Amino acid sequence: MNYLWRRFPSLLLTLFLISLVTFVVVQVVPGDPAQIILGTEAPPEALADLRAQLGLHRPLPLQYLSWLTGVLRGDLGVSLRHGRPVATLIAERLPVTLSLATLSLSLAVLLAVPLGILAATHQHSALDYGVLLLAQAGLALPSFWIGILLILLFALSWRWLPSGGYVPWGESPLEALRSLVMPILALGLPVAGVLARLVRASMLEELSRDHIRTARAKGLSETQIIVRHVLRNALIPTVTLLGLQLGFLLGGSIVIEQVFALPGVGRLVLFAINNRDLPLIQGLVLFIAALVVTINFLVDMAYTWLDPRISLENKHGS
Amino acid sequence: MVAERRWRHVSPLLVGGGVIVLAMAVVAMLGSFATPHDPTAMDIAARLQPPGAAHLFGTDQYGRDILSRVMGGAGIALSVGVVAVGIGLGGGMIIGAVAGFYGGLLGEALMRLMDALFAFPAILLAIAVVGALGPGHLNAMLAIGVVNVPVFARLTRASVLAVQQEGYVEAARAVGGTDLHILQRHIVPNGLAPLLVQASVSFATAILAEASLSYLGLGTQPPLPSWGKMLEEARLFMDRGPWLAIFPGLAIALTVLGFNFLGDGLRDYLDPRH
Repeated sequence: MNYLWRRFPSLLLTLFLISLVTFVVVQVVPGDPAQIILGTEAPPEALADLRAQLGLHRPLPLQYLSWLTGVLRGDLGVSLRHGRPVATLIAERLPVTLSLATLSLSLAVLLAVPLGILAATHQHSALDYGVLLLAQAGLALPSFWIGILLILLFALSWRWLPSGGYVPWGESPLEALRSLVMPILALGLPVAGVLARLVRASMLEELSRDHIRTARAKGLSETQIIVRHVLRNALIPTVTLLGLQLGFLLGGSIVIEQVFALPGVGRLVLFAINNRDLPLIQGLVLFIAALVVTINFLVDMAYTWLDPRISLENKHGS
Repeated sequence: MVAERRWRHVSPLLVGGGVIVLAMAVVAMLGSFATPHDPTAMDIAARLQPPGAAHLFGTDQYGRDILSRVMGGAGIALSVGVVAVGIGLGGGMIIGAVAGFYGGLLGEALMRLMDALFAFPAILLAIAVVGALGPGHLNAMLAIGVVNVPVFARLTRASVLAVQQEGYVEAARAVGGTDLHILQRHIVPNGLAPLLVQASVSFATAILAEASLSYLGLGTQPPLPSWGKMLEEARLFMDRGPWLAIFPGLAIALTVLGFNFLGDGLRDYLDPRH
Protein backbone atom coordinates (compact mmCIF):
# COMPACT_ATOMS: atom_id res chain seq x y z
CA MET A 1 0.00 0.00 0.00
CA ASN A 2 2.90 2.32 0.83
CA TYR A 3 4.36 1.63 -2.56
CA LEU A 4 1.11 2.69 -4.20
CA TRP A 5 1.08 6.00 -2.37
CA ARG A 6 4.70 6.65 -3.32
CA ARG A 7 3.99 6.04 -6.98
CA PHE A 8 0.70 7.94 -7.10
CA PRO A 9 2.15 11.50 -7.30
CA SER A 10 4.40 10.42 -10.17
CA LEU A 11 1.31 9.07 -11.99
CA LEU A 12 -0.40 12.43 -11.54
CA LEU A 13 2.70 14.30 -12.76
CA THR A 14 2.92 12.10 -15.86
CA LEU A 15 -0.79 12.61 -16.59
CA PHE A 16 -0.33 16.38 -16.24
CA LEU A 17 2.64 16.35 -18.62
CA ILE A 18 0.68 14.23 -21.09
CA SER A 19 -2.09 16.83 -21.11
CA LEU A 20 0.52 19.53 -21.71
CA VAL A 21 2.19 17.63 -24.59
CA THR A 22 -1.22 16.89 -26.13
CA PHE A 23 -2.27 20.54 -25.94
CA VAL A 24 1.00 21.79 -27.43
CA VAL A 25 0.99 19.28 -30.31
CA VAL A 26 -2.58 20.13 -31.24
CA GLN A 27 -1.88 23.89 -31.08
CA VAL A 28 0.65 23.40 -33.88
CA VAL A 29 -2.08 22.05 -36.18
CA PRO A 30 -2.67 24.65 -38.86
CA GLY A 31 -6.25 25.70 -39.43
CA ASP A 32 -8.78 27.89 -37.67
CA PRO A 33 -11.46 25.94 -35.77
CA ALA A 34 -14.01 28.68 -36.47
CA GLN A 35 -13.36 28.39 -40.19
CA ILE A 36 -13.61 24.59 -39.97
CA ILE A 37 -17.07 24.88 -38.39
CA LEU A 38 -18.46 27.64 -40.60
CA GLY A 39 -16.69 26.81 -43.87
CA THR A 40 -14.49 28.95 -46.12
CA GLU A 41 -17.44 31.09 -47.33
CA ALA A 42 -18.28 32.39 -43.86
CA PRO A 43 -18.38 36.18 -43.37
CA PRO A 44 -15.55 37.61 -41.23
CA GLU A 45 -17.95 38.92 -38.52
CA ALA A 46 -19.44 35.46 -38.00
CA LEU A 47 -15.93 33.98 -37.75
CA ALA A 48 -14.90 36.60 -35.20
CA ASP A 49 -18.06 35.94 -33.15
CA LEU A 50 -17.49 32.22 -33.12
CA ARG A 51 -13.80 32.64 -32.24
CA ALA A 52 -14.83 34.75 -29.24
CA GLN A 53 -17.48 32.18 -28.32
CA LEU A 54 -14.89 29.35 -28.48
CA GLY A 55 -12.47 31.41 -26.43
CA LEU A 56 -9.80 31.38 -29.15
CA HIS A 57 -8.92 35.04 -28.58
CA ARG A 58 -7.58 34.27 -25.11
CA PRO A 59 -3.88 33.66 -24.46
CA LEU A 60 -2.77 30.02 -24.84
CA PRO A 61 -2.04 29.35 -21.13
CA LEU A 62 -5.61 30.43 -20.30
CA GLN A 63 -7.01 28.23 -23.07
CA TYR A 64 -5.00 25.33 -21.69
CA LEU A 65 -6.24 25.94 -18.15
CA SER A 66 -9.88 26.06 -19.16
CA TRP A 67 -9.45 22.90 -21.26
CA LEU A 68 -7.75 21.17 -18.34
CA THR A 69 -10.46 22.11 -15.84
CA GLY A 70 -13.02 20.80 -18.33
CA VAL A 71 -11.07 17.54 -18.67
CA LEU A 72 -10.96 17.13 -14.89
CA ARG A 73 -14.77 17.38 -14.87
CA GLY A 74 -14.96 14.77 -17.65
CA ASP A 75 -15.68 17.35 -20.36
CA LEU A 76 -13.32 16.81 -23.31
CA GLY A 77 -14.94 19.50 -25.46
CA VAL A 78 -17.23 19.29 -28.49
CA SER A 79 -16.25 17.80 -31.84
CA LEU A 80 -16.18 20.42 -34.61
CA ARG A 81 -17.40 18.00 -37.27
CA HIS A 82 -19.85 15.86 -35.33
CA GLY A 83 -21.16 18.71 -33.17
CA ARG A 84 -21.35 16.28 -30.21
CA PRO A 85 -19.31 15.93 -27.02
CA VAL A 86 -15.93 14.25 -27.60
CA ALA A 87 -16.44 12.09 -24.49
CA THR A 88 -19.71 10.71 -25.90
CA LEU A 89 -18.10 9.94 -29.26
CA ILE A 90 -15.27 8.07 -27.52
CA ALA A 91 -17.69 6.19 -25.24
CA GLU A 92 -19.70 5.01 -28.27
CA ARG A 93 -16.65 3.58 -29.99
CA LEU A 94 -14.76 2.31 -26.98
CA PRO A 95 -16.44 -1.14 -26.78
CA VAL A 96 -15.12 -2.04 -30.26
CA THR A 97 -11.55 -1.03 -29.48
CA LEU A 98 -11.54 -2.51 -25.99
CA SER A 99 -12.96 -5.80 -27.30
CA LEU A 100 -10.26 -5.85 -29.95
CA ALA A 101 -7.42 -4.95 -27.58
CA THR A 102 -8.37 -7.21 -24.67
CA LEU A 103 -9.20 -10.22 -26.86
CA SER A 104 -5.93 -9.78 -28.80
CA LEU A 105 -4.01 -9.58 -25.55
CA SER A 106 -5.82 -12.66 -24.19
CA LEU A 107 -5.01 -14.59 -27.36
CA ALA A 108 -1.38 -13.50 -27.08
CA VAL A 109 -1.11 -14.61 -23.44
CA LEU A 110 -2.91 -17.91 -24.05
CA LEU A 111 -0.48 -18.68 -26.88
CA ALA A 112 2.69 -17.17 -25.47
CA VAL A 113 2.79 -18.54 -21.90
CA PRO A 114 2.45 -22.26 -22.77
CA LEU A 115 4.70 -21.87 -25.83
CA GLY A 116 7.34 -19.99 -23.85
CA ILE A 117 7.28 -22.59 -21.07
CA LEU A 118 7.49 -25.49 -23.52
CA ALA A 119 10.34 -23.82 -25.41
CA ALA A 120 12.29 -23.25 -22.19
CA THR A 121 11.74 -26.78 -20.85
CA HIS A 122 12.70 -28.23 -24.24
CA GLN A 123 15.62 -25.90 -25.00
CA HIS A 124 17.36 -26.49 -28.37
CA SER A 125 14.53 -28.73 -29.59
CA ALA A 126 12.61 -28.21 -32.84
CA LEU A 127 9.77 -26.75 -30.77
CA ASP A 128 12.14 -24.26 -29.17
CA TYR A 129 13.44 -23.08 -32.54
CA GLY A 130 9.87 -22.92 -33.84
CA VAL A 131 8.90 -20.58 -30.98
CA LEU A 132 11.95 -18.38 -31.61
CA LEU A 133 11.10 -18.23 -35.30
CA LEU A 134 7.50 -17.27 -34.47
CA ALA A 135 8.84 -14.55 -32.18
CA GLN A 136 11.08 -13.08 -34.89
CA ALA A 137 8.19 -13.23 -37.38
CA GLY A 138 5.97 -11.48 -34.85
CA LEU A 139 8.48 -8.66 -34.54
CA ALA A 140 9.01 -8.29 -38.28
CA LEU A 141 5.55 -8.72 -39.83
CA PRO A 142 3.48 -5.53 -39.76
CA SER A 143 0.13 -6.35 -38.14
CA PHE A 144 -1.79 -4.66 -40.95
CA TRP A 145 -0.05 -6.92 -43.45
CA ILE A 146 -1.01 -9.99 -41.41
CA GLY A 147 -4.55 -8.59 -41.54
CA ILE A 148 -4.41 -8.21 -45.32
CA LEU A 149 -3.09 -11.76 -45.73
CA LEU A 150 -5.86 -13.09 -43.46
CA ILE A 151 -8.47 -11.29 -45.57
CA LEU A 152 -6.89 -12.75 -48.70
CA LEU A 153 -7.12 -16.24 -47.24
CA PHE A 154 -10.23 -16.40 -45.06
CA ALA A 155 -12.47 -13.82 -46.71
CA LEU A 156 -11.55 -13.71 -50.40
CA SER A 157 -10.31 -17.27 -51.09
CA TRP A 158 -12.27 -19.45 -48.67
CA ARG A 159 -15.12 -17.05 -47.84
CA TRP A 160 -15.29 -18.23 -44.22
CA LEU A 161 -15.27 -14.82 -42.58
CA PRO A 162 -16.44 -11.31 -43.47
CA SER A 163 -13.60 -9.15 -44.86
CA GLY A 164 -14.59 -6.18 -42.71
CA GLY A 165 -17.32 -4.43 -40.74
CA TYR A 166 -18.55 -4.95 -37.19
CA VAL A 167 -21.61 -6.47 -35.55
CA PRO A 168 -22.21 -5.26 -31.96
CA TRP A 169 -22.05 -7.93 -29.23
CA GLY A 170 -25.61 -7.08 -28.15
CA GLU A 171 -26.97 -7.84 -31.63
CA SER A 172 -25.37 -11.22 -32.16
CA PRO A 173 -22.43 -12.45 -30.09
CA LEU A 174 -21.53 -15.05 -32.72
CA GLU A 175 -21.46 -12.54 -35.57
CA ALA A 176 -19.54 -10.08 -33.37
CA LEU A 177 -16.90 -12.73 -32.77
CA ARG A 178 -16.82 -13.62 -36.47
CA SER A 179 -16.25 -9.98 -37.38
CA LEU A 180 -13.42 -9.76 -34.82
CA VAL A 181 -11.60 -13.07 -35.44
CA MET A 182 -9.23 -11.76 -38.12
CA PRO A 183 -8.52 -8.40 -36.43
CA ILE A 184 -7.75 -10.24 -33.17
CA LEU A 185 -5.37 -12.62 -34.95
CA ALA A 186 -3.66 -9.77 -36.84
CA LEU A 187 -3.12 -7.76 -33.68
CA GLY A 188 -2.53 -10.62 -31.24
CA LEU A 189 -0.10 -12.84 -33.15
CA PRO A 190 2.82 -10.37 -33.22
CA VAL A 191 2.34 -9.72 -29.48
CA ALA A 192 2.25 -13.49 -28.86
CA GLY A 193 5.64 -13.80 -30.56
CA VAL A 194 7.22 -11.07 -28.45
CA LEU A 195 5.71 -12.44 -25.22
CA ALA A 196 6.68 -16.06 -25.93
CA ARG A 197 10.30 -14.99 -26.40
CA LEU A 198 10.26 -13.18 -23.08
CA VAL A 199 8.53 -16.01 -21.18
CA ARG A 200 11.13 -18.41 -22.60
CA ALA A 201 14.06 -16.18 -21.62
CA SER A 202 12.83 -15.52 -18.07
CA MET A 203 12.00 -19.21 -17.58
CA LEU A 204 15.53 -20.18 -18.65
CA GLU A 205 17.01 -17.65 -16.27
CA GLU A 206 14.89 -18.90 -13.36
CA LEU A 207 15.61 -22.55 -14.17
CA SER A 208 19.34 -21.91 -13.83
CA ARG A 209 19.07 -20.57 -10.27
CA ASP A 210 20.42 -22.30 -7.18
CA HIS A 211 17.10 -22.84 -5.43
CA ILE A 212 15.89 -24.79 -8.45
CA ARG A 213 18.89 -27.08 -8.15
CA THR A 214 18.02 -27.55 -4.49
CA ALA A 215 14.42 -28.35 -5.39
CA ARG A 216 15.61 -30.94 -7.90
CA ALA A 217 17.97 -32.42 -5.31
CA LYS A 218 15.05 -32.69 -2.90
CA GLY A 219 13.40 -34.89 -5.50
CA LEU A 220 10.59 -32.59 -6.65
CA SER A 221 9.15 -33.43 -10.06
CA GLU A 222 9.79 -31.06 -12.98
CA THR A 223 6.12 -30.07 -13.02
CA GLN A 224 6.20 -29.21 -9.32
CA ILE A 225 9.38 -27.19 -9.83
CA ILE A 226 7.93 -25.26 -12.74
CA VAL A 227 4.61 -24.55 -11.05
CA ARG A 228 5.87 -23.83 -7.53
CA HIS A 229 9.25 -22.22 -8.05
CA VAL A 230 9.80 -21.02 -11.58
CA LEU A 231 6.58 -19.72 -13.02
CA ARG A 232 5.78 -17.02 -10.52
CA ASN A 233 9.21 -15.39 -10.74
CA ALA A 234 9.37 -15.84 -14.49
CA LEU A 235 6.04 -14.09 -14.91
CA ILE A 236 7.19 -10.77 -13.40
CA PRO A 237 8.97 -9.45 -16.51
CA THR A 238 6.10 -10.83 -18.60
CA VAL A 239 3.58 -8.75 -16.67
CA THR A 240 5.69 -5.61 -17.22
CA LEU A 241 5.75 -6.28 -20.92
CA LEU A 242 1.99 -6.92 -20.92
CA GLY A 243 1.40 -3.38 -19.72
CA LEU A 244 3.69 -1.98 -22.38
CA GLN A 245 2.11 -4.18 -25.04
CA LEU A 246 -1.35 -2.83 -24.22
CA GLY A 247 -0.12 0.56 -25.40
CA PHE A 248 1.16 -1.09 -28.56
CA LEU A 249 -2.20 -2.82 -29.00
CA LEU A 250 -4.17 0.41 -28.62
CA GLY A 251 -1.85 2.09 -31.14
CA GLY A 252 -1.96 -0.91 -33.45
CA SER A 253 -5.74 -0.98 -33.33
CA ILE A 254 -5.76 2.39 -35.13
CA VAL A 255 -4.30 0.68 -38.19
CA ILE A 256 -6.16 -2.62 -37.77
CA GLU A 257 -9.53 -0.86 -37.41
CA GLN A 258 -8.78 0.83 -40.72
CA VAL A 259 -7.87 -2.48 -42.42
CA PHE A 260 -11.08 -4.17 -41.23
CA ALA A 261 -13.38 -1.11 -41.31
CA LEU A 262 -14.15 -1.45 -37.57
CA PRO A 263 -15.96 1.57 -36.07
CA GLY A 264 -13.64 1.94 -33.05
CA VAL A 265 -11.65 4.68 -31.36
CA GLY A 266 -8.76 4.21 -33.83
CA ARG A 267 -10.91 5.10 -36.82
CA LEU A 268 -12.19 8.10 -34.89
CA VAL A 269 -8.56 9.24 -34.52
CA LEU A 270 -8.07 9.05 -38.28
CA PHE A 271 -11.37 10.84 -38.90
CA ALA A 272 -10.29 13.61 -36.52
CA ILE A 273 -6.85 13.96 -38.16
CA ASN A 274 -8.18 13.92 -41.72
CA ASN A 275 -10.86 16.49 -40.87
CA ARG A 276 -8.68 18.70 -38.66
CA ASP A 277 -11.19 18.30 -35.85
CA LEU A 278 -8.95 19.82 -33.17
CA PRO A 279 -11.01 19.21 -30.00
CA LEU A 280 -11.59 15.63 -31.11
CA ILE A 281 -7.85 15.04 -31.80
CA GLN A 282 -6.96 16.61 -28.46
CA GLY A 283 -9.53 14.58 -26.52
CA LEU A 284 -8.65 11.30 -28.21
CA VAL A 285 -4.88 11.61 -27.85
CA LEU A 286 -5.24 12.58 -24.19
CA PHE A 287 -7.71 9.79 -23.52
CA ILE A 288 -5.59 7.04 -25.10
CA ALA A 289 -2.33 8.18 -23.50
CA ALA A 290 -3.99 8.54 -20.08
CA LEU A 291 -5.50 5.07 -20.46
CA VAL A 292 -2.07 3.58 -21.26
CA VAL A 293 -0.39 5.33 -18.32
CA THR A 294 -3.11 4.28 -15.91
CA ILE A 295 -2.95 0.67 -17.07
CA ASN A 296 0.84 0.65 -16.65
CA PHE A 297 0.39 2.05 -13.16
CA LEU A 298 -2.00 -0.80 -12.35
CA VAL A 299 0.50 -3.26 -13.81
CA ASP A 300 3.14 -1.83 -11.48
CA MET A 301 0.74 -2.45 -8.63
CA ALA A 302 0.34 -6.04 -9.76
CA TYR A 303 4.06 -6.56 -9.08
CA THR A 304 3.60 -6.13 -5.38
CA TRP A 305 1.27 -9.09 -5.49
CA LEU A 306 3.56 -11.14 -7.72
CA ASP A 307 6.79 -10.21 -5.99
CA PRO A 308 6.47 -9.23 -2.33
CA ARG A 309 10.13 -8.12 -2.36
CA ILE A 310 9.15 -4.99 -4.26
CA SER A 311 8.17 -2.53 -1.59
CA LEU A 312 8.68 1.08 -0.69
CA GLU A 313 12.02 0.41 0.98
CA ASN A 314 13.50 -1.68 -1.79
CA LYS A 315 12.37 0.70 -4.48
CA HIS A 316 13.98 3.62 -2.76
CA GLY A 317 17.07 4.88 -4.51
CA SER A 318 16.68 2.63 -7.54
CA MET B 1 43.52 -12.77 -27.50
CA VAL B 2 40.90 -10.08 -27.20
CA ALA B 3 40.41 -10.02 -30.94
CA GLU B 4 40.02 -13.79 -30.98
CA ARG B 5 37.39 -13.69 -28.26
CA ARG B 6 35.51 -11.00 -30.08
CA TRP B 7 35.43 -12.92 -33.33
CA ARG B 8 33.93 -15.92 -31.62
CA HIS B 9 30.89 -13.82 -30.81
CA VAL B 10 30.25 -12.75 -34.37
CA SER B 11 27.03 -14.77 -34.30
CA PRO B 12 25.03 -16.01 -37.29
CA LEU B 13 22.46 -13.37 -36.28
CA LEU B 14 24.98 -10.56 -36.71
CA VAL B 15 26.19 -11.89 -40.05
CA GLY B 16 22.68 -12.67 -41.31
CA GLY B 17 21.34 -9.29 -40.22
CA GLY B 18 24.35 -7.52 -41.72
CA VAL B 19 23.93 -9.31 -45.06
CA ILE B 20 20.19 -8.52 -45.26
CA VAL B 21 20.75 -4.86 -44.36
CA LEU B 22 23.60 -4.54 -46.85
CA ALA B 23 21.53 -6.21 -49.57
CA MET B 24 18.65 -3.82 -48.87
CA ALA B 25 21.03 -0.86 -49.08
CA VAL B 26 22.22 -2.10 -52.50
CA VAL B 27 18.62 -2.61 -53.66
CA ALA B 28 17.77 0.90 -52.43
CA MET B 29 20.66 2.37 -54.41
CA LEU B 30 19.75 0.40 -57.53
CA GLY B 31 16.12 1.38 -56.96
CA SER B 32 16.91 5.01 -57.64
CA PHE B 33 18.35 4.46 -61.12
CA ALA B 34 18.52 0.83 -62.23
CA THR B 35 15.00 -0.64 -61.88
CA PRO B 36 13.79 -2.98 -64.66
CA HIS B 37 10.96 -0.50 -65.40
CA ASP B 38 10.14 3.07 -64.40
CA PRO B 39 8.45 2.61 -60.96
CA THR B 40 5.88 5.34 -61.73
CA ALA B 41 5.27 4.63 -65.44
CA MET B 42 1.69 3.48 -66.06
CA ASP B 43 0.75 0.97 -68.74
CA ILE B 44 -2.99 0.40 -68.65
CA ALA B 45 -2.76 -2.38 -71.28
CA ALA B 46 -0.58 -4.37 -68.88
CA ARG B 47 -2.64 -3.78 -65.70
CA LEU B 48 -2.93 -6.49 -63.02
CA GLN B 49 -0.56 -8.88 -64.79
CA PRO B 50 0.41 -11.85 -62.60
CA PRO B 51 4.12 -12.44 -61.89
CA GLY B 52 5.86 -13.65 -65.06
CA ALA B 53 8.88 -13.19 -67.31
CA ALA B 54 8.06 -9.60 -68.32
CA HIS B 55 7.21 -8.51 -64.77
CA LEU B 56 8.81 -10.76 -62.12
CA PHE B 57 6.48 -9.51 -59.35
CA GLY B 58 3.55 -8.72 -61.70
CA THR B 59 1.93 -5.32 -62.28
CA ASP B 60 -0.53 -3.20 -60.28
CA GLN B 61 -3.90 -1.64 -61.15
CA TYR B 62 -2.20 1.00 -63.32
CA GLY B 63 0.12 -1.51 -65.03
CA ARG B 64 3.16 -0.32 -63.02
CA ASP B 65 5.90 -2.89 -62.50
CA ILE B 66 5.72 -4.08 -58.87
CA LEU B 67 9.36 -5.23 -58.70
CA SER B 68 10.51 -1.74 -59.72
CA ARG B 69 8.16 -0.18 -57.18
CA VAL B 70 9.34 -2.48 -54.40
CA MET B 71 12.95 -1.56 -55.31
CA GLY B 72 12.04 2.14 -55.29
CA GLY B 73 10.31 1.65 -51.95
CA ALA B 74 13.54 0.35 -50.41
CA GLY B 75 15.12 3.79 -50.79
CA ILE B 76 12.12 5.45 -49.16
CA ALA B 77 12.06 2.96 -46.27
CA LEU B 78 15.78 3.24 -45.58
CA SER B 79 15.77 7.04 -45.85
CA VAL B 80 12.99 7.16 -43.24
CA GLY B 81 15.05 4.86 -41.03
CA VAL B 82 18.19 6.98 -41.37
CA VAL B 83 16.49 10.32 -40.73
CA ALA B 84 14.16 9.10 -37.96
CA VAL B 85 16.92 7.29 -36.09
CA GLY B 86 19.20 10.30 -36.67
CA ILE B 87 16.65 12.64 -35.08
CA GLY B 88 15.93 10.21 -32.24
CA LEU B 89 19.59 9.54 -31.57
CA GLY B 90 20.68 13.18 -31.88
CA GLY B 91 17.84 14.60 -29.79
CA GLY B 92 17.92 11.77 -27.28
CA MET B 93 21.69 11.93 -26.78
CA ILE B 94 21.64 15.68 -26.15
CA ILE B 95 18.70 15.48 -23.72
CA GLY B 96 19.97 12.33 -22.01
CA ALA B 97 23.53 13.66 -21.67
CA VAL B 98 22.34 16.95 -20.20
CA ALA B 99 19.97 15.18 -17.81
CA GLY B 100 22.57 12.64 -16.74
CA PHE B 101 25.58 14.96 -16.55
CA TYR B 102 23.98 17.89 -14.79
CA GLY B 103 21.14 16.08 -13.02
CA GLY B 104 19.27 18.30 -10.58
CA LEU B 105 15.95 19.92 -11.34
CA LEU B 106 16.72 20.37 -15.04
CA GLY B 107 17.62 16.71 -15.43
CA GLU B 108 14.55 15.62 -13.52
CA ALA B 109 12.24 17.87 -15.58
CA LEU B 110 13.73 16.65 -18.86
CA MET B 111 13.35 13.00 -17.91
CA ARG B 112 9.76 13.46 -16.69
CA LEU B 113 8.99 15.04 -20.07
CA MET B 114 10.58 12.05 -21.78
CA ASP B 115 8.45 9.73 -19.61
CA ALA B 116 5.35 11.61 -20.71
CA LEU B 117 6.33 11.28 -24.39
CA PHE B 118 7.11 7.61 -23.81
CA ALA B 119 3.61 7.10 -22.44
CA PHE B 120 2.00 7.77 -25.82
CA PRO B 121 1.63 4.70 -28.02
CA ALA B 122 4.33 5.33 -30.67
CA ILE B 123 2.02 5.21 -33.64
CA LEU B 124 -0.52 7.52 -31.96
CA LEU B 125 2.14 10.14 -31.25
CA ALA B 126 3.44 9.83 -34.82
CA ILE B 127 -0.12 10.22 -36.17
CA ALA B 128 -0.68 13.27 -33.97
CA VAL B 129 2.59 14.89 -35.09
CA VAL B 130 1.89 14.13 -38.76
CA GLY B 131 -1.62 15.44 -38.20
CA ALA B 132 -0.12 18.67 -36.89
CA LEU B 133 2.49 19.06 -39.63
CA GLY B 134 0.46 17.64 -42.52
CA PRO B 135 0.90 14.31 -44.30
CA GLY B 136 4.03 13.59 -46.32
CA HIS B 137 7.31 11.75 -46.52
CA LEU B 138 9.41 14.38 -44.70
CA ASN B 139 6.89 14.96 -41.94
CA ALA B 140 6.54 11.22 -41.38
CA MET B 141 10.34 10.98 -40.90
CA LEU B 142 10.22 13.88 -38.46
CA ALA B 143 7.27 12.41 -36.54
CA ILE B 144 8.91 8.99 -36.21
CA GLY B 145 12.13 10.71 -35.16
CA VAL B 146 10.35 12.61 -32.37
CA VAL B 147 8.78 9.36 -31.18
CA ASN B 148 12.28 7.85 -30.95
CA VAL B 149 13.80 10.61 -28.81
CA PRO B 150 12.70 9.36 -25.33
CA VAL B 151 14.20 5.86 -25.61
CA PHE B 152 17.60 7.25 -26.68
CA ALA B 153 17.42 9.91 -23.96
CA ARG B 154 16.84 7.24 -21.29
CA LEU B 155 19.68 5.06 -22.57
CA THR B 156 22.09 7.98 -22.82
CA ARG B 157 21.23 9.18 -19.32
CA ALA B 158 21.73 5.70 -17.88
CA SER B 159 25.10 5.37 -19.65
CA VAL B 160 26.22 8.80 -18.52
CA LEU B 161 25.29 8.03 -14.91
CA ALA B 162 27.16 4.73 -15.06
CA VAL B 163 30.29 6.06 -16.77
CA GLN B 164 30.47 9.14 -14.55
CA GLN B 165 31.33 6.92 -11.58
CA GLU B 166 34.40 5.56 -13.37
CA GLY B 167 37.86 6.55 -12.22
CA TYR B 168 39.01 7.93 -15.56
CA VAL B 169 36.19 10.48 -15.57
CA GLU B 170 37.16 11.65 -12.10
CA ALA B 171 40.77 11.79 -13.27
CA ALA B 172 39.83 13.88 -16.29
CA ARG B 173 37.90 16.22 -14.02
CA ALA B 174 40.83 16.43 -11.59
CA VAL B 175 43.22 17.54 -14.32
CA GLY B 176 40.78 20.31 -15.24
CA GLY B 177 38.89 18.83 -18.21
CA THR B 178 35.88 20.92 -19.25
CA ASP B 179 32.36 19.42 -19.19
CA LEU B 180 32.19 19.33 -22.99
CA HIS B 181 35.60 17.67 -23.20
CA ILE B 182 34.66 15.00 -20.64
CA LEU B 183 31.35 14.35 -22.41
CA GLN B 184 32.96 14.15 -25.85
CA ARG B 185 36.11 12.22 -25.03
CA HIS B 186 35.06 9.93 -22.19
CA ILE B 187 31.36 9.62 -21.59
CA VAL B 188 29.91 9.40 -25.10
CA PRO B 189 32.42 6.84 -26.49
CA ASN B 190 32.01 4.56 -23.46
CA GLY B 191 28.23 4.69 -23.45
CA LEU B 192 27.89 4.06 -27.17
CA ALA B 193 27.26 0.29 -27.21
CA PRO B 194 23.64 0.25 -25.97
CA LEU B 195 22.84 3.20 -28.24
CA LEU B 196 24.17 1.31 -31.25
CA VAL B 197 22.00 -1.71 -30.45
CA GLN B 198 18.95 0.50 -29.90
CA ALA B 199 19.64 2.35 -33.17
CA SER B 200 19.39 -0.92 -35.07
CA VAL B 201 16.13 -1.89 -33.35
CA SER B 202 14.72 1.64 -33.81
CA PHE B 203 15.61 1.46 -37.49
CA ALA B 204 13.35 -1.59 -37.77
CA THR B 205 10.47 0.04 -35.87
CA ALA B 206 10.86 3.24 -37.93
CA ILE B 207 10.37 1.24 -41.13
CA LEU B 208 7.26 -0.40 -39.64
CA ALA B 209 5.95 2.97 -38.47
CA GLU B 210 6.46 4.59 -41.89
CA ALA B 211 4.66 1.67 -43.53
CA SER B 212 1.75 2.09 -41.09
CA LEU B 213 1.57 5.86 -41.61
CA SER B 214 1.68 5.47 -45.38
CA TYR B 215 -0.95 2.73 -45.19
CA LEU B 216 -3.18 5.23 -43.36
CA GLY B 217 -2.51 7.85 -46.05
CA LEU B 218 -0.49 10.05 -43.67
CA GLY B 219 3.05 9.16 -44.80
CA THR B 220 4.65 9.06 -48.23
CA GLN B 221 2.23 10.33 -50.87
CA PRO B 222 1.62 8.85 -54.35
CA PRO B 223 3.07 8.38 -56.90
CA LEU B 224 6.19 7.72 -54.75
CA PRO B 225 6.37 3.96 -54.18
CA SER B 226 6.15 3.49 -50.40
CA TRP B 227 5.64 -0.12 -49.27
CA GLY B 228 2.85 0.84 -46.88
CA LYS B 229 1.03 2.87 -49.53
CA MET B 230 1.37 -0.01 -52.00
CA LEU B 231 -0.34 -2.30 -49.50
CA GLU B 232 -3.13 0.23 -49.00
CA GLU B 233 -3.71 0.43 -52.76
CA ALA B 234 -3.55 -3.37 -52.97
CA ARG B 235 -6.49 -3.65 -50.54
CA LEU B 236 -8.97 -2.70 -53.31
CA PHE B 237 -7.56 -4.95 -56.03
CA MET B 238 -6.23 -7.96 -54.21
CA ASP B 239 -9.20 -10.17 -55.08
CA ARG B 240 -7.98 -9.94 -58.68
CA GLY B 241 -4.27 -9.56 -57.96
CA PRO B 242 -3.16 -11.12 -54.68
CA TRP B 243 0.48 -10.49 -55.64
CA LEU B 244 -0.18 -6.79 -55.10
CA ALA B 245 -0.49 -7.49 -51.38
CA ILE B 246 2.33 -10.03 -51.12
CA PHE B 247 5.57 -8.45 -52.34
CA PRO B 248 5.55 -5.07 -50.54
CA GLY B 249 4.71 -6.87 -47.29
CA LEU B 250 7.54 -9.35 -47.81
CA ALA B 251 9.92 -6.46 -48.44
CA ILE B 252 8.91 -4.80 -45.15
CA ALA B 253 9.19 -8.06 -43.21
CA LEU B 254 12.61 -8.92 -44.65
CA THR B 255 14.07 -5.48 -43.98
CA VAL B 256 12.70 -5.34 -40.43
CA LEU B 257 13.98 -8.87 -39.81
CA GLY B 258 17.44 -7.81 -41.04
CA PHE B 259 17.64 -4.85 -38.66
CA ASN B 260 16.29 -6.90 -35.73
CA PHE B 261 18.89 -9.62 -36.37
CA LEU B 262 21.59 -6.97 -36.60
CA GLY B 263 20.44 -5.44 -33.30
CA ASP B 264 20.34 -8.84 -31.51
CA GLY B 265 23.72 -9.78 -32.98
CA LEU B 266 25.26 -6.46 -31.95
CA ARG B 267 23.87 -6.85 -28.44
CA ASP B 268 25.61 -10.23 -28.05
CA TYR B 269 28.79 -8.97 -29.70
CA LEU B 270 29.08 -5.83 -27.58
CA ASP B 271 27.96 -7.42 -24.32
CA PRO B 272 30.95 -7.10 -21.97
CA ARG B 273 29.87 -10.26 -20.12
CA HIS B 274 30.92 -12.31 -23.15
